[in-house]
Amino acid sequence: MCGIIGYVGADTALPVLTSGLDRLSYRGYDSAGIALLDDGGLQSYRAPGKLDALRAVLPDTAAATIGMGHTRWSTHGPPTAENAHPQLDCSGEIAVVHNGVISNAAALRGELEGHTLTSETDTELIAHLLEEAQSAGGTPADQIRTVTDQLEGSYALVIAFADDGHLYAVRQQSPLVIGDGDRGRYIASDVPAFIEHTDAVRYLEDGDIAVVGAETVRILNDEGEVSRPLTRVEWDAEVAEKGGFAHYMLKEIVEQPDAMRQSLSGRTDPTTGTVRFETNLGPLARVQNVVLVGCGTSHYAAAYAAGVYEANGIAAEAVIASEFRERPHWDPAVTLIIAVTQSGETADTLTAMRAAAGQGYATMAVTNTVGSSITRLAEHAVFIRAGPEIGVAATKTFSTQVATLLVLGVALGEARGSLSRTVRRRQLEAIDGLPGQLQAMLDARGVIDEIAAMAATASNHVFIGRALGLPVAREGALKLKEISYDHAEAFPAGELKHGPLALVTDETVVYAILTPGADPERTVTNVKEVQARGATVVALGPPDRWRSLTDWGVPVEGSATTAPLLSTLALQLIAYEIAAAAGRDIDQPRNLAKSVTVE
Amino acid sequence: MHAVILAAGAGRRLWPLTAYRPKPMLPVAARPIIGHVIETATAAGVDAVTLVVGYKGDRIREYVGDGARFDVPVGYVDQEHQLGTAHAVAQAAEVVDDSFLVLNGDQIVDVEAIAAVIAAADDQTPVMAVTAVDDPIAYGVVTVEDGWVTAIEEKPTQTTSGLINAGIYGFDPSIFGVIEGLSPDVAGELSLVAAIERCVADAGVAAVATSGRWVDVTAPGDLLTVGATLHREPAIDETASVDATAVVGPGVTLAADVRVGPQAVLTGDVDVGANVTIGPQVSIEDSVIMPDTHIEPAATVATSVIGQNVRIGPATVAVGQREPAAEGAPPVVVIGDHSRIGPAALLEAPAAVGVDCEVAAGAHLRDRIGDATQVVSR
Repeated sequence: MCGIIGYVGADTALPVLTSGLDRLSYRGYDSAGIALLDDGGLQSYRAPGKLDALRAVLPDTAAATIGMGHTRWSTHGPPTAENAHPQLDCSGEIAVVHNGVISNAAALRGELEGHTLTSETDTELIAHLLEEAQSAGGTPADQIRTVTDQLEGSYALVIAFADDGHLYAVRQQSPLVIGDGDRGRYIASDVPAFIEHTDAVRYLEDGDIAVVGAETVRILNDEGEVSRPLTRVEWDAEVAEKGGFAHYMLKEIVEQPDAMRQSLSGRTDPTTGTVRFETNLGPLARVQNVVLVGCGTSHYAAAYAAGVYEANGIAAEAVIASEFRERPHWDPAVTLIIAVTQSGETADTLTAMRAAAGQGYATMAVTNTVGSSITRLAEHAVFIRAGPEIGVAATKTFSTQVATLLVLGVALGEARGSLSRTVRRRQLEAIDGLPGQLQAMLDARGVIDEIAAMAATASNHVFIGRALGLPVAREGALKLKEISYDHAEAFPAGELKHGPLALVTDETVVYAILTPGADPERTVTNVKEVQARGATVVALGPPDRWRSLTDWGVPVEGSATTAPLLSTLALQLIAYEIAAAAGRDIDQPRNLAKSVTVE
Repeated sequence: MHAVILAAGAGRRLWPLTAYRPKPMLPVAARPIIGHVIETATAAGVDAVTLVVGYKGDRIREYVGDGARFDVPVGYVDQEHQLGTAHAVAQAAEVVDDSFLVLNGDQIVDVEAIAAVIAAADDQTPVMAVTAVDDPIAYGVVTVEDGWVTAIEEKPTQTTSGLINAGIYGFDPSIFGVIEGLSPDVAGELSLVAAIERCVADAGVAAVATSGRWVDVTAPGDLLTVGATLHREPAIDETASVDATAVVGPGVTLAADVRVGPQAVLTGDVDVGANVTIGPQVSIEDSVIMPDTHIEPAATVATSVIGQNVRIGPATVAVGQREPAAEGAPPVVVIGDHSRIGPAALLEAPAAVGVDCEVAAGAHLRDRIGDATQVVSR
């Protein structure tokens, strides 16, 4: 959940580190710090709060050409300067930044003698353990190995020693990449942090210790020196800029037609009813049961896909990653487990997939991030190709996750022979209609903005839907609560009368998904139910469906497999407008981070 | 030099194509006009761009972004209410601090013309480009003596000058004071021409004579003709798929993920946007098709401009005038975004269908249908 940046090279390190921290701030932002290394040793700067607070304590310029930075999201200890990284040992000659959680920190803390600890972090322990290990001699890499052998849990570390012109990078179940540039070497939690300097990257693997100098990188694992291939990243750093929009979230909502075109490009052929993925997806023909694992928005995308798969005649269930456990009815020989994660680094999802690994299941990752941990954990990977998403609230990655999973569903139906060519063609035609229909949703912005203005004063927001409308309702409620902090809940429409109806008053806005694929005929009854209690109803669906029910309707086109998904865009815009009207920090909502790399 | 590009106007004369996008986002030679404008400006030496956006500004922000694709930094200022071209320029007062260029976001001009204004503006400001045309009275006619502008007249009934305002200006920040001193004209707007007239009366305005391409889109039909003047090589994107039995002529541009079905025939100057599906046995000639549109089997589209996410039903015929008109834009059939046409409807020029319309099977249209209309039959 924290972000790491490191630099060793020919340029002064400070600007590289501050701009890297800027780009990492979506990972966490309750405190931050930088350590610089020059002939005078290590200088450390830390501050609680956002990056501006750190900037206030940083020097304007510094000659050091080696340094590392960290932006933190608290797991151990509150956000204070003392708990911010880098953490130093007693001598002040070893500095450590860390992303992850050391699960045996309490035990190690008990064993450590003769050291003065100044923070509540598990990270500081690592600095002191390194100090201990120095007395045993050996190379710095040997000393680091001695320490990591004692650590349990997840960690990506960057370590600097005052008398050493290298940075040491360690990866264990937390992401870490190394960039090779003309002007030096970069270490970061993710590529956007340094992509303005280089697109040539190496992804470390679990157990790797990298010795990073200005000219060379040596990578060691348990066995000795290893090589990790250099790959080029296609994302252009500039693509990730806000491009004149007030927030990344709005930019990412507005660019959904383009992102969708890019996501689907070359994969669907409605004329023949066939699907082409760029990579081999393994033996899909034998799959009889699909389990989709994910968290948050990715879970709702998974639940949507599971609904479509079931309608296509294949057993499918969406499981929340942190609730993952093997079920007796899963037969490893015929069960495909699909991890759905935007970042590919979601700790809960990685843990679930590790638990599934080695049990004989076929495994697949559906992610936005090439080279991410999940792609190395799963046997096969499908990329959603949505481009970088910076806003903490997922928008374009939800719609492209769903679309990618729908295309995958057609591929499954083709491989298993369970979907006729006619049905596959119809589904692919519907999927190919998504970019234009997303644009139609954006072009209805006037109507949506009026609804948002009406709903902004509500004290309570309830989202209802059935079938594919249910995950969409849940995603709508999640968007609204994430960024507006207003109370928002989603319920299966039929469940209202079994309890939640008690929440409904004349200050409640109820959002009803009335599209094809969401069993709209039956939900209309529930709309009348809440209207009788004074609630204002916002309906999403074909105008004929809601014109006689409410003044607050959003026209939604699309087929039974795509129309519920299209409704999401309107719910995203409503959430955005309500949060913007309330002056919320939309791209970085309180207590949340983009990529949740702790469990 | 920093360029301020005016891209806030609604372009109402181009309805229905501008119902959901501003005029600078209309496609010419398979890319938005604003893309051509920024590319030309950077080729002429512009090293920073400020876009003044207003009407449907998000479409421009989404396309241009921070300018990375044009290799020039792009910033934005909002003109919330479109109160004239001088008012638009005034929005940029905060972001320019030296001599700067002003361009129209919906006019494509030659690189040399912009470069000439940049060179002149290095010496003195204000400066404006003029260009010679055959029929000046349709434009802002400029009278020039000894290299200085002496008069500007909008659409005069007669004139001795063959020069018109080419819409490229060089200013320094003192222009903002001039604009502040303007009173709104009869339309309630502050126009840049009025500001220049003040300067003519004051310290003088230098004229830079330019020649060459000067592309303005004033009617939907212009989209069919102006592409040719850009001499852009037609191109088939590598992700487009064309059935082996389809015929795609040399003047056809297909964007990403376009699908052309069996026995379809595309001839003349045809620009097809991304993710368009062209069904079996469809014929298309001299037309612009915007992204995401579906043209279903055996439909015919000729001399037409089809918006985004339109569905042209099977066997529907949309045919503009076959022979180019003697002057001006050819009469075309225009269909607005998200509309559904046919099957087997017949649309003849000057039919114009608004956005979000539904035109029933077998309908026969020759006239203008407003936005969000359901045409049952005609």
